[in-house]
Amino acid sequence: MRSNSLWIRQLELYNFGPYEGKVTLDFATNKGKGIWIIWGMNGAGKTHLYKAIKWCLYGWDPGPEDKPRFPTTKDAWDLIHGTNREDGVPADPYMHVYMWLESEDGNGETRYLIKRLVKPLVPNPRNHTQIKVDFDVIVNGRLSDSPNEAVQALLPLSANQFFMFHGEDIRKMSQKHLEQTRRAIELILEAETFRLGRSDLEAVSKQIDGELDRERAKNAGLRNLLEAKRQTQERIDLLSESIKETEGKIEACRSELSEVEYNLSSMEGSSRLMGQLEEIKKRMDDLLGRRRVLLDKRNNFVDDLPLQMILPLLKSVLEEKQETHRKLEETKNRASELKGRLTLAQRILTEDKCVCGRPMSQVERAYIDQERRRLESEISSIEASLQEEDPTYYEVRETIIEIEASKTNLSELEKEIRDVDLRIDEVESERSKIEEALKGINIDAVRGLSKRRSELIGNKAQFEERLTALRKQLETEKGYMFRITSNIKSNEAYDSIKAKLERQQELCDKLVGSFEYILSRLAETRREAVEKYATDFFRSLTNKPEEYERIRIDANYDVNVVDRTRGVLQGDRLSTGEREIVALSFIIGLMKASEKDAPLVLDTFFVHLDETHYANIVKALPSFGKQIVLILTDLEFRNLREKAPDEFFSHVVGIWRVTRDPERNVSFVAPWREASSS
Amino acid sequence: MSTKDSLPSVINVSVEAYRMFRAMCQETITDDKKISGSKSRLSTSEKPFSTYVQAMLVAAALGLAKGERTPVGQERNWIIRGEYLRNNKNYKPFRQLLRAKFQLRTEHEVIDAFVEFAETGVRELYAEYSSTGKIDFLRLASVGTIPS
Repeated sequence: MRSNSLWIRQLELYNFGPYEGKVTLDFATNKGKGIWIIWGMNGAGKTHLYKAIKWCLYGWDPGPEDKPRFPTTKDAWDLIHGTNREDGVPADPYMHVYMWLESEDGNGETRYLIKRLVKPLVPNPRNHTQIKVDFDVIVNGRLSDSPNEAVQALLPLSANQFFMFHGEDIRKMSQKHLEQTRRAIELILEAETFRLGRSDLEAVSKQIDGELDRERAKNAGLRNLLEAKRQTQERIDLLSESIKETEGKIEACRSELSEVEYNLSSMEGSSRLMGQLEEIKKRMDDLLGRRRVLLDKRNNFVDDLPLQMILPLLKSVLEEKQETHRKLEETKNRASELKGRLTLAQRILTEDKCVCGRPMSQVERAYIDQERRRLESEISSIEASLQEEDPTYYEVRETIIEIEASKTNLSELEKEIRDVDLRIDEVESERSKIEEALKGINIDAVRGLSKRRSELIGNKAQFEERLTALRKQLETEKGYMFRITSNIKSNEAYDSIKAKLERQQELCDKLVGSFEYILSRLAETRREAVEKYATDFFRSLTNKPEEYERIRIDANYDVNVVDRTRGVLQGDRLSTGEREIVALSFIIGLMKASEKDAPLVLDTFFVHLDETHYANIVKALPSFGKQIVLILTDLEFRNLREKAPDEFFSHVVGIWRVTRDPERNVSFVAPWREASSS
Repeated sequence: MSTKDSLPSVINVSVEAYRMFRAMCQETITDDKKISGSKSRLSTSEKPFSTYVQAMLVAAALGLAKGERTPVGQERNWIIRGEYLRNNKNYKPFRQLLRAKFQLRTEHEVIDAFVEFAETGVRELYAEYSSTGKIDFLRLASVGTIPS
């Protein structure tokens, strides 16, 4: 919970942003109460003082639209003095912001020292992966075990925008029509505390139920059922606890994952290069594989080469054999023809008639017989001269056909190998370029983060799976519980204690209902209070008090202005300046309604205001809070000195001036007095 | 095939030819184990032939194309087992060619002629390899087309 009164006592910066070495701002005078002014020209380093407070508290600079996230070393690295130089390497890698705060509530005073330090992990860190950030909170001289929780209790991250903002933030909020109203009101209602209260009440209800069960247990018939109920309740409690724990683990994974992804995105360049390198290695493997295949093909060509070389010799052998083969075939054909004629002659002689069926004469028979003898003689002569067929002729011919079919085109193969070699050389050159570019980068860090991201994604999925299983199990257990409770109720013995049970339950229900009512009533009251305070401020700030009646926060928590004649005006019907005034009034209204008092840091607050609004705000400013730190440009400061009434300056406790040495690119801050300006 | 007419169990070449084959082959022989050399692109000494059988066949083809036989001589070194040739599908056309062209009858006669042609071929291959560091297989593919 926030303290009732909180103020900054001292702020110490070392090597922060444009500030070289140590810079101290002491707010101890008047216990911090009053207005503190820090002024300087644009770019002198004023806003870095505002950033220092935020960085010290939260580890980063949350804007009004930013969702809470984990601070990263990248946030810190960009703030180290010297990281904005050309080489981006700080001469002194150490940086810190210490802030001393004091709070006062009903229990007395509490002193806080918040320390956020940057330390190098290597002698000359070159990027944010080579530094670490330590964060400590010392409360009343004792080191807090959970510094983040201590700061959240002091001034929650979500609430900081209502205490520390600059003109730009207000403008953003006004443009967004205060979408965060509900959250803001919940915050000042301390809704979390109420939720805890309701949870306590539920615990009491459970306790009563336990007592009743013990009463029921006196009856033997109910004993078993009650034991079953007790065991089921235990399982439900255990499962609820496991669900809560798993949800916490998922949230932790999600939070770390967001940090890791943020860090990875800031290393996007190197991560991309590494991705390219992996891809190149894959391409190289593919090319080498392709080359191996081609070499194997070439090797096969070498296997077949001797056959290609002896092919002409085989062909010449075949040609030689072919002549013999042709002659042999001719002789065979001649012999075959003669044999046909011989068969015919023999048939005519045997049948003793001509082929046309006519009987033969003596002369004809003698002629055919003579012809038969001649044919027999010629055939035997041919057969005697017929050479044995060369069996290798067909073998050689088949071999030649096979060799010709398996001919490989080596020239194309060689060309392809040369192409692959060229591509390999190109890829190798590309690889060496990327490796050169990666030389200065902490590859291990990128790999480590990528690995961690995969782990976290895996863990998260695992936890989510477990959560689903647990929820399912819980539903089953609740089903058992419902059945057991029904059985208990249907038991006769139940009647005897029914009345008592009902009374108890009724009481609990009434208590919960009352609690809900109180909460809603309180919310309504707070809403009305915020509305009232905001209206008061709005009417004191606006340049149209005669037109605008009040600020209205409706049931949906929309913030509007009520015009005397036109009724409710939505944000978009107001001018930019008017919306800013509405937003500012709402913020101040919230602060007042919260009944808390925290330091109010306003950076370049007056830039967008017109003359009337300016005069009105200057007049009302001292009532905004107990400790107000105004960060002004030299023009704003001059305007303030010229236009603000003397009454305003009676609230000013201290003034610092921020200057900058442009040659050394170093800022300085020193107390300022009227005399020193002249 | 009768035992008498089978391929010899071991093929011998001259010591000189053996050294040449050894210089041009990735394969080394330890008894009956064949160890192939690395085919990685990064290997600085990529030899032109993967096996002795492959090299012998190319050498014999070159010798045949040239039509020159070189006697093996007295000093010999065994280079491959006979079965490696017998089991190689590319040896059969050589056998056919040698038998047809030179009217050789037995396997011993064929293998002797094969080795003598390979002795001629290997000398030419080695001369090219030792002077250029590689063998121009594309040129060799056209060698056979030139009448010997």
